Amino acid sequence: MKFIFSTILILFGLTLFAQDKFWVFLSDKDGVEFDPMTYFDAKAIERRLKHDLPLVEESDKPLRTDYFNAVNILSDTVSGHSRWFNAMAVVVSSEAQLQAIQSLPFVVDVVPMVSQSYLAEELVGGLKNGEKSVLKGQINWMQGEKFKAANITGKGVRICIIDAGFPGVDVAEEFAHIRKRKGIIATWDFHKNNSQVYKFNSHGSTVLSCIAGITSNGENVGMATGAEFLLARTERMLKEGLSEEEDWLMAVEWADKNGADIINSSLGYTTSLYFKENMDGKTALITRAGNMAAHKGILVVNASGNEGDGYWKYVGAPADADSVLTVGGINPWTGIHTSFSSYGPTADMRMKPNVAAYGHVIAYGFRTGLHETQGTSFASPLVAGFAACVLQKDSSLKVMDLFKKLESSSNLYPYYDYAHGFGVPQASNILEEVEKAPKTVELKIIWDSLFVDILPEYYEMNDQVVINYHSKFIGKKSPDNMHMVDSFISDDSNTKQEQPNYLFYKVSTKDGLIKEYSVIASQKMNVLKKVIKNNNNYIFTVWYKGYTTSIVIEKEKQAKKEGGNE
Amino acid sequence: MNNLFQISIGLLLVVFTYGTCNAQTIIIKQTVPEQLEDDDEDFGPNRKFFNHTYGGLAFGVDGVSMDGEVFSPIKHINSFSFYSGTRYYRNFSKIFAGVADYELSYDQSRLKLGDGDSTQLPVSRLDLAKAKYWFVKMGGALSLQINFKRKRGNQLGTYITIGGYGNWLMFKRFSAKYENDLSSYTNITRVNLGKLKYMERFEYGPEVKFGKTNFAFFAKYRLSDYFKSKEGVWDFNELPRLNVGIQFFPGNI
Repeated sequence: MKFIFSTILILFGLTLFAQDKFWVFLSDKDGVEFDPMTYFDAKAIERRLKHDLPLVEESDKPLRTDYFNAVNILSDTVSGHSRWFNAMAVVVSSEAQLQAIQSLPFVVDVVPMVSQSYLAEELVGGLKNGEKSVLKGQINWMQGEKFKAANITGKGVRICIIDAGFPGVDVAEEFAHIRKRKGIIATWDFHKNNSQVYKFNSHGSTVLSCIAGITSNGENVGMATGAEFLLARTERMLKEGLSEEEDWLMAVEWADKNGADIINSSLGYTTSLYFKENMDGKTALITRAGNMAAHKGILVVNASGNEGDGYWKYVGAPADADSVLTVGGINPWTGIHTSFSSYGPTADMRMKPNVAAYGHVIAYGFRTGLHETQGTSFASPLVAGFAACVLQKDSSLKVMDLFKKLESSSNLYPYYDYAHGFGVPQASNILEEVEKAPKTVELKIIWDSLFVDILPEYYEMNDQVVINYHSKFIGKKSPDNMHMVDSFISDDSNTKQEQPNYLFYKVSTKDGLIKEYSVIASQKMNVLKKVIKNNNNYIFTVWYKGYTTSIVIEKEKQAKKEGGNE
Repeated sequence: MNNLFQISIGLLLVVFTYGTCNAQTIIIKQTVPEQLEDDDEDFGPNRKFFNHTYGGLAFGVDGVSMDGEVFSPIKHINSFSFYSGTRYYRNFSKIFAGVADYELSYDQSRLKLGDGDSTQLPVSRLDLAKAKYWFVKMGGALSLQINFKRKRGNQLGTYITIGGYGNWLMFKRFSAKYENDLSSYTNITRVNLGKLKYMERFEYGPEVKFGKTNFAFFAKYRLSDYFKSKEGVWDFNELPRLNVGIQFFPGNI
């Protein structure tokens, strides 16, 4: 029995005396002086002027030294601080310390900090057939070759990558063109507090290659090969960190100080810190930091996450922030949402993800060189690279204009759903006036049903769908939630060279909140019949071959056409 | 008969063709809940109800007894248990939870056959090379859990549980191996004894666990006896009563 009690006491003791980490939020910055000209990089000042922001905002000022010192004395360590949120990250080892800090008159709130983030990468062993086709597709699906032909490479745009490490970036051939022109402006490791980021986990190197990598035979891996970079290491793989959320926040502020125009962040926080209902765009600290970055004129591009086929299913933080551009994943072999890509909406029912890109890519790895890997981690930098090209094309764009331009350039726009957002951004929509798609589909109400008919001249059979899974849709109730297994709609060797001729439809409220959405491989022209009595007062919207049309179902047996984009 | 066959084939073709003509393949369909928490309003590590599967490994610990009892000596590495089960939680408050387990386990105790050991065995000791008891058990446990370091979000934090367990010994076996040359065909003889009359059917005792997210350390102390006693006939020394081990919980917990 002694053994049992001794074991319990030892284990209990280990826990009781463990150190804990907290955010301490302070009340004010009264009397603090701040010179923006010495603190900010020239590009940061330029960005503020472009966005009509004052050169000094309260959130830019440093913390009050007397407050800082008072909290510092009462804690074991101050591991970091945030100007934006007027907060300090502190380590304490006793309840008494915590109470003493809480009782300080200028302390507004104390919040425990525990985190375990996901890096939105799914590891794949070995290369599949057709990797060259994937490499080509990850650029061509966004029409990146058009940017290249127009010599648009993101030149003059500064991108900050927040990730887990960047080994190989200082030596690998895929980044030689960036090193040659001294395109890496600054680096910082927020764990070690030094500038040595070219080691640790190579996730960040893979992400950088998806923004700006070039293969040895001159093929682009990403689109922004001419951009400038800030590399920040905040994540530790295979370790439950106490400080990663804190580091992310400090890295965003560092990016602001150093003049970043775009931040790519391929990580997020879900079940380790939050419940699904917390993904409301205002609860998570890094979500608020993402919105603050947008306020400062920085476009934050974030992966939607790889929880689509898991327990969590929905986007995490900071992807839930309304001003963060959330990127979902496309399966190259099916041309639609890849099953692991996290779905929207947010907990407060806002649309997410915003756009999508390849979620399976060929990219640089430290020990593997160019290899196939998957995850929305890599969809995000593809879009960040695209965004840099858009910003080079029109450098006067303010951050939310850029955000909206990326959405409106996407292939499904104005249609959207919670799996694809507005779809994949298209360079042709940025570079030239694209003719509007012709009318391809017609909606009709007959008796109590809504019919969707594809016009004969635009109808194509879907012979690539290898089996009829849940076929006989008409007259039968299909399951509420389903995602066909990818192998049923692809032979897993050749990627789709263009958008497959699937029909997208959704049923939404007049406020745009989607009740149901679907993607159908049509195998006859009259694609769909929907009983309208269950959908009274909803809007029914269909997308087919670039054409979007919708109908308002106002009451049973009557409907009003709202019009398409012809 | 021939006509009937042709008509049947014709009907089948019509049905097949109609089905194919009407076929539409749904690739993705999603119905959006009115609120995201509808999916798991009450379920999760930090919600009202939760359950997860677990697997575990434990080892017998010799020499721990309430009253100086003498045990059958065992070989430690070869005396172990495998566990597999499901754990159910009912969180009463942020600190306290009720926990119920049901599990299947395999438990073996290999005996140390020293010269000075006088432990009674159900077989002859002459030329005996190896001997072990092994059991397959089915049972459960009821415990009170104290979450003294709760995690944010939907994750198990750090906790301690105190409770009791009980098992039904589904299979009770004694296996022995002899090495001699009594047979002209082999010099190894194995003996398996089942339905051991001198063994109890049930066991029970207290159990404590110390857990953190995906694993827990635990200790079980068997209060009940394995062996019945019959004066002058059965006088078996008990197997060690204390088991310590670790359990793993797969998935995002």
